[in-house]
Amino acid sequence: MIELSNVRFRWRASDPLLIDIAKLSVGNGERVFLEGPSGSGKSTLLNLLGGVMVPEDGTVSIDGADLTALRQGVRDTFRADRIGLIFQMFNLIPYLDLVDNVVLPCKFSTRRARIAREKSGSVEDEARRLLRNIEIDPDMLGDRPVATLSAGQQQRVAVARSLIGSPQLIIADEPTSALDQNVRQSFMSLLFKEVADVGATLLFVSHDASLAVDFDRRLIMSEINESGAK
Amino acid sequence: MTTARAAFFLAFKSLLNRYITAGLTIFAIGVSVMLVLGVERVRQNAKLSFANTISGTDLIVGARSGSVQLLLYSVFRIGNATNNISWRSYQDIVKRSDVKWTIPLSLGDSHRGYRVLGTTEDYFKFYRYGSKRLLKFSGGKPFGDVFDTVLGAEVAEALGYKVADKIVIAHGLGTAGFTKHNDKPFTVTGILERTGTPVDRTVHVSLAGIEAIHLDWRGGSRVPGMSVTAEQARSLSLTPKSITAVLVGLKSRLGAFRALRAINENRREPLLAILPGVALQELWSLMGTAEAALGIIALFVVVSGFIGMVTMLLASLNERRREMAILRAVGARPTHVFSLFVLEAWLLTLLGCVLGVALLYLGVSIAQPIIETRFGLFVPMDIPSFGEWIILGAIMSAGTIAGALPAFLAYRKSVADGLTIRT
Repeated sequence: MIELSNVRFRWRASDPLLIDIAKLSVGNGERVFLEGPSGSGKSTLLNLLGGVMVPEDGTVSIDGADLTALRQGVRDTFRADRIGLIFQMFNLIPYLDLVDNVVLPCKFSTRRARIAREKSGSVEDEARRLLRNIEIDPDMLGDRPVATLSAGQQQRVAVARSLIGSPQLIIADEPTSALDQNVRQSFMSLLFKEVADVGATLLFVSHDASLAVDFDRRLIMSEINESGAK
Repeated sequence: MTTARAAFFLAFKSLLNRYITAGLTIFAIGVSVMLVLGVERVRQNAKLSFANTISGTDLIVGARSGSVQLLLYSVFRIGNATNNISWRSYQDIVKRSDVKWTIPLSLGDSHRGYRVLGTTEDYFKFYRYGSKRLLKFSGGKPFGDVFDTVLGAEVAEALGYKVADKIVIAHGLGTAGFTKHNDKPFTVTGILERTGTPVDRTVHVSLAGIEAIHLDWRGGSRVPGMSVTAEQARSLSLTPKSITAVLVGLKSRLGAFRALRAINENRREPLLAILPGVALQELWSLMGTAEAALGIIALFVVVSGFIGMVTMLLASLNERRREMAILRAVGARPTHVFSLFVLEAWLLTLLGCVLGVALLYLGVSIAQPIIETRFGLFVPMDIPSFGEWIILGAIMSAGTIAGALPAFLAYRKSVADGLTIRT
């Protein structure tokens, strides 16, 4: 699913390398925990995987497609179609309601809109189905501004959004760091269950090593990234 | 297509979420649009009604002064004549072989704020306005007796006069505090139809009537001990010694310049003859400065409205960086971020224009009667004219272009931030 080889990245030629990854490979359906403190190049790696930034060297392949060979617009469409992203916190657009937030990827990806419609008839119904799966009742909370939801609820909505239209790759960037310990556990089990439902590959980035236990594989940023960035 | 709809949907929802600031911005733009359209509408109709004030008259003759001044007092009833022209000079003009008709005008008195015009029955035969339209009576007939009067439409309406009512004319101009010719009341014999010109605000009497009420006056005040009753006045000679101005119709318009020169070179009395069309142009170009000033002020109001809008969009830029990153994450391109901001500006401007047009019609409906009675200017409730559509189009373009600045900054931030959330 993910193949990185000899990837180097820096902002300017005079800067030190931020990313220097000789090889990173994640198989289809694999659940990978990527451990690394902030400043270890995680967010840069995220931008490279999303096709938002391109490396000066090497190839970044997602689902068999080499992102570095694609134009920016095609990479954006590719990301919209194939990748679901979950951020650390405040994942939701404050001016959209619950369902509109979940439906959002379908507005930029016809592929995901089509898949969502095939599953539930309409993208909105698919969004409601996903929300119920992650134990959020859209009929009860639907009218509330999303900013008034609890941190845990907001992160679960973000999971539903990343999963709508069944993208093959889910990337979660420290999604639990804003959550309490007890909420964290239930969040993780919901995430695993839903990702398994869709059959997606999961790349989970966190500095909290205690979460790594349930993953298929555990990678440590400082071991794969030889740039010396900590 | 899908993404264009997505950007539109997002822009709309985003503005809806910030309804207070967005509403104020729309209001500011709306007020400026109303002002620009209002100024344009008043200007257009002022110009139109202005050009329509008098037509079919080939020359206006008065005492020597400025052509604009002569036009103002003879046609617009604004200001006063510095001098009169003698009855003899008037007779000379009447007797000219190229003159078809003349309308003598004698000004100086008033009735409750409306000017009194002394003239002859020829006024109702030859005076034309608009596209060569003659005056029509909505009731009654021209004055026949010395103490008869014909009222303009507005005078009759504003003061509630009907045919056969009696009115008293005041000496001099002004609404109150003036001595009145109350010993010689006039009877309303006719009321004219509305013309949209100063005729509506005029009280018409015969030259003899003007002469009659001034028999026992000298130099602006009543002569002590001298009193001429209305009945006595009828038996006296009521031929005036002088009049204020003359409207002249020629047999052939081609002769206008020759007649003009002949009158202007009159040796007996310093006279001034003008071509109404030329003088109207001259007067309008004088007002052009005020017109341009109004236009510039309205333009600056629009600019300030847009500054408000750009400020609002710029102020939101930093707090929206997270939103940009989320949008990028779900597949938005930097150009989508750009178009989101431009669309917001476009929507704000569009709603501002809609509100502005609504305010314009509201304003016109409220101000229409006031403007009409105060300034004699009819501002219609018509659908926007071609020129007004052009203005709206220009405002829409300007607003959208103004939105490009915050949009470009958002675009740059979005490219730099990528999927990284910064706050």
